[in-house]
Amino acid sequence: MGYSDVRIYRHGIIGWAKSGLQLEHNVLYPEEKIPLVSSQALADTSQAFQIIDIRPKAHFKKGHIDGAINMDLEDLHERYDELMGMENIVLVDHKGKLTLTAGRYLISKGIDSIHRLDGGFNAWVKEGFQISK
Amino acid sequence: MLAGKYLIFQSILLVSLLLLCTDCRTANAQAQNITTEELQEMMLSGQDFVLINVLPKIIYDSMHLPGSVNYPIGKLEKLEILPFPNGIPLIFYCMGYL
Repeated sequence: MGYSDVRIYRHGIIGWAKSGLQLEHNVLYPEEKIPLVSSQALADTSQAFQIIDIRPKAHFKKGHIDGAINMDLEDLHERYDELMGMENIVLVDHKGKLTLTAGRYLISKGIDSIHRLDGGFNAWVKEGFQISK
Repeated sequence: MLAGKYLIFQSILLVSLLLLCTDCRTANAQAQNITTEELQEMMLSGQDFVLINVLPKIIYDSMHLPGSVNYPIGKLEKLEILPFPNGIPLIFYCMGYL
């Protein structure tokens, strides 16, 4: 292949922006606040929420919050209409880094009532809550 | 022979990228790291390289580094070849951290 020079920029988007450097945008999603839900609050009232796990399928299979539906963020732009009409959606990712943008994307598509799990699935596990496989 | 080299390259790349996306801080040293300053310098110098964003399209559309292209990791895993010239530096990034 000849790709002997492979490098990784670990600071990524967050590091680039925090250094005061400009990012590019193809689209601007509405700058809505997406309320955070703690793991404890979600565990206490899970019946009140529809949990949408946006991690890749392979990660979801290894463990997820009981009752969650898997909708890989990579496919969300092709599947968001499946969420139409759902109430009290809670988005779950790995660490809570991607759900703000994902939530704003869904709002731009007319899907309201979006929340996000604070700290993502990692926080859920770290705080000792049960997972399903 | 060529196929063997490709498989080795692909394996190293995918392991590095999966670790990158799972946790940037714990990714191992399969590929060389680059700092913000080094990346900026490469951009300003006009050096040839490809900057590849491995995040989902929804995130890429919302924000990405200037001049980068989008190859979501799930799609990247299914590709047999990347459409870039041999020998060109490939720089991968995701959401990252400070």
